[in-house]
Amino acid sequence: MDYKSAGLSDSEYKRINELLEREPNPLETQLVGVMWSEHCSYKSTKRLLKTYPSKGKYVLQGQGENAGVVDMGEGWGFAFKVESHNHPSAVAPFQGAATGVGGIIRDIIAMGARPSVSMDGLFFGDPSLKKTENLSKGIVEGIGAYGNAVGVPIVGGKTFYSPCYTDNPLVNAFSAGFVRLDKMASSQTAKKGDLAVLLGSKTGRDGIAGASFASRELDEDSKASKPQIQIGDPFEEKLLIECCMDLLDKDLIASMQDMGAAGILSSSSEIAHKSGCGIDITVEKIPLREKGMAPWEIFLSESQERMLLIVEENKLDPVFALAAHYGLDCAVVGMMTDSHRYRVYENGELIADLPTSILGDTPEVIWPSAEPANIKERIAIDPSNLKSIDPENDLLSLISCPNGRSKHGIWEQYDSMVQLHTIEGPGSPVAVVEVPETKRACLLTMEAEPNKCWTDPYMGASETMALSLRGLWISGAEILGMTNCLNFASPEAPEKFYELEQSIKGLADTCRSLDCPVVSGNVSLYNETASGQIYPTPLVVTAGLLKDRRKHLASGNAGTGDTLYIVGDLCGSLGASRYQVMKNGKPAGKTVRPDHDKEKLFRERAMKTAADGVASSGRAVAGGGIAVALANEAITSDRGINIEINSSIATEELLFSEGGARAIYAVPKEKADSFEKIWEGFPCTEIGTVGGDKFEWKDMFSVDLSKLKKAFTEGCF
Amino acid sequence: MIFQAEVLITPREGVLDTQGKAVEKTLTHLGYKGLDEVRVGKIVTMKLEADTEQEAVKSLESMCSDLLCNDLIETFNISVRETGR
Amino acid sequence: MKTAVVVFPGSNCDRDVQRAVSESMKTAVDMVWHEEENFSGQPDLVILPGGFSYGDYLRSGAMAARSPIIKAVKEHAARGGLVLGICNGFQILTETKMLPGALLPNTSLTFICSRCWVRVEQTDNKFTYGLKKGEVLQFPIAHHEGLFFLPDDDLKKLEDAGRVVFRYADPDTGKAGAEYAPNGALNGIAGICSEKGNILGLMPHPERATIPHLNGGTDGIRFWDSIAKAFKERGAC
Repeated sequence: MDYKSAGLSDSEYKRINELLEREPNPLETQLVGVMWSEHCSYKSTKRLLKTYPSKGKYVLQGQGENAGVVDMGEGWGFAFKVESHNHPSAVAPFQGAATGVGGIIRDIIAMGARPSVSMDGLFFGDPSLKKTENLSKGIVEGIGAYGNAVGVPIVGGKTFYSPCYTDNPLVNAFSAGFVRLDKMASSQTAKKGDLAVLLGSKTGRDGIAGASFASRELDEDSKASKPQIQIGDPFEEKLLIECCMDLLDKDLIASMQDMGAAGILSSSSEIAHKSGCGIDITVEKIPLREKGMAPWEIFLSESQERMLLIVEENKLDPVFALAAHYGLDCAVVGMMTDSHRYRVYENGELIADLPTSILGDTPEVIWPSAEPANIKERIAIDPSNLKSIDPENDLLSLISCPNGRSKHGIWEQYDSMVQLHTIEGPGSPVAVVEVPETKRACLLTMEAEPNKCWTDPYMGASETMALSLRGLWISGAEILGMTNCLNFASPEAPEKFYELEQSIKGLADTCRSLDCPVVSGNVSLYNETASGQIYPTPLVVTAGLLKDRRKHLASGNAGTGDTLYIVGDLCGSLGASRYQVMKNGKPAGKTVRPDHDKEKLFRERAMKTAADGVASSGRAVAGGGIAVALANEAITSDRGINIEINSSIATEELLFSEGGARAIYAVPKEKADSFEKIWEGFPCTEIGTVGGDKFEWKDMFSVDLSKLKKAFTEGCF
Repeated sequence: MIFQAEVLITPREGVLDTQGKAVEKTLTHLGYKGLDEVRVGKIVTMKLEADTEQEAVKSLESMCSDLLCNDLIETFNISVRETGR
Repeated sequence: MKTAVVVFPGSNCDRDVQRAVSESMKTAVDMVWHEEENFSGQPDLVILPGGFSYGDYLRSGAMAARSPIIKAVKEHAARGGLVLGICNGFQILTETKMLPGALLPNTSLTFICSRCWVRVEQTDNKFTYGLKKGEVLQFPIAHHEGLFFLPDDDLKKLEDAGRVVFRYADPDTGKAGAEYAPNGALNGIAGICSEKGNILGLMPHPERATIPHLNGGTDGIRFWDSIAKAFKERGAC
């Protein structure tokens, strides 16, 4: 058989022969080929991901399961994960995005959790192009159509535009759910004699070999590959959610796995391998939607809305009864054995017989890494091109441009309130969700800094991770863990592999120094076309915990008469900042050097500020620097602000530089002393007051609050 | 007899058809001229068994009034053709 | 007071309604699957919650309206029992013809989730009895098909009969009408009641404005209090 068409290299095929001590038959070649694809095996990144810190005080389940789980306290776990669905969304935006949402939701169900919240990281191309408009419209509609119907609120997200994504849009779907600790499900607890039950939709030809599709670059032929795109049915998924919650509630499931990439094959082989068992599957028992499907098609099908359940024999009847109650198809398709073999039977004939390890223990590929030849060009920054001659105009441009303006046009298409537990939803830099039946709150930030990662992958990734932590510290939350989606170009070019390797290093070092375990994640490689590659885009979602939700320090709550402070340096770096990109057309210059000691000093004080309730409002300085942070604060608080800073720092650096542990706080006058005491030992500058109806910055500009709001909300001024 | 049936369901005259309006606007935007009364509806197709064509049509009319068509806002049009025994 | 919440395949807001209603009205809440043919015990209030019953396939609420439980809902209403349809529940009530009209796609042709203000137009029904005519309340909306429609003559009859209970409004001026409807609803109609005033359908979600520490506001509490008051003072029928 032509093993290359199964995605296998010469050396991989040789290895398979060695492991089997024979040649694999065509079906076996297909099965191994898909499991050894980049998308399923993570062969290019496994060894790098092992460098992440995975242990933490609150970690109940780290990498290696369908999703990571952290401890929220009072018997509640929080399962969360982010996943990409980039290639399908580029080819069929609506369904690609919709099924991306569906897929990650099932990963949460597989942990025994009711999917409770979602967020989406969207990366679109040049906003002036019709192509971008069509792709972004389709993607946003697809996410809404699925998420709204399935009843999972979208509580936050990130939308970023850059020409590098024009032909390679990114859709990173995050979902999470609360789970009672005594009801947590696992893919590792199957045992001999248990039955493998397929629950949900019938299997068709959707998305066949989609895993291989995601492991290759997009070319013109990809557009013709529409039949490989999966079609989502959110109604079926909703029934699946309710049925699984009911099954778990009644203790009817021994183990669970979602059917995502490479459907039946990956789910069944993963359960068998992780549980230390074997599995026998009978092809003709699998309910099919189409006639004449060959075994390889059935195993690799990515038909949506299916779960694999492992059920003890004596619990089979009630499982079938519940499935019937919810109108879901349910069939016994196989049995767990103690053979450590993955066996497929068709009408009594054994048509595939592989050791489970060959499917579960996939090989690693060690790609060479080399600093990009154009690295000097990337970090070269010409200060003379960055002068701010009209700071008011620059500010208004920054808050009205596609990357700076309000994204309410997107998130008002999403239900952010269903399930009645959203405390702070879209539009806020930190999402806040009630932990069920408690006074606790779960907090989430989603961050990505592709421009900074382009100019220096290590420093950009470090800043990305630090930024996601700062938002939570300011809110007063304890850090529980992080999930990440690594979106990169092809690992096969040393310069591109360098970007991947250095970004992971930046994330790993920052997580380790700042005590944030990585509990789950996803890698998407080969995001490039003939016209170019995407910027390195590591995206992180970090979860935090507030034991008492009343201690939450939100942003946008500045009160008239409050004193405004900046904590941290007055200046970061203009390198790869929003301002620099606006002035120069593309990112250049490094961001700030990571300083973890400084972050720790910041963390301690930020947490105390929230805990002691000495501030009305707090916000991290992020995109657009101090000026944009203040503008956002004024707009959301609906208050004018008056700033005066005596400094010799250049205007553009003071106003718009980014990076580093910095925040703005609004503090009631009577608490100013307590606030300043907390921030001793760290740069802390009083910069002005809250009041009036303008954003006034002495000797810089004076803008009406109404003009500011219009620029932000409507994208024009 | 087996019939292949098609039920065409369209918005009633006088009912706001926002989808139709949006489609008309976009087509005009794309350069198509002389368009009028663009309506967006749906089609339900099925195979059904019946002794005669009249019986098949009657059954489909009943389906429309029972479920397929909301007669406050939609009208329907049925077509059947014999396709086998 | 006893409440039953009907759960259809695809309902999403059933548990939200259960929580809001049991916390604010202190009523026992029974969750009833759509395949049941009767309510066990006799509920005083039956609620059809929001969501995407049957995925909104064919037409929103169309298939749910043909569920076995609907017969019992109609009988309950005929006896004068209270029936409240929220969002998808309102759509289901129009499909069963328990309320007139239909809900068409929003003029924007997009799903809209946001805060929303409605004015109380009449208090002669079993739901807004405890509210003040003309007061403006905030109940969040979240729907794709909220454009209330009736042909002109029927619309006039409905208005003349005073059966419009909630109308989309401006919170600052207290004015209400079509120009304040986020979805293009005719005459800005957000909620209507039956002739006897014991059936109410509305597109906004009062349950989302019930729990104080969440982000939906608290005007829903006034709504539930009003229903509880009506029940106490005017009884079930």
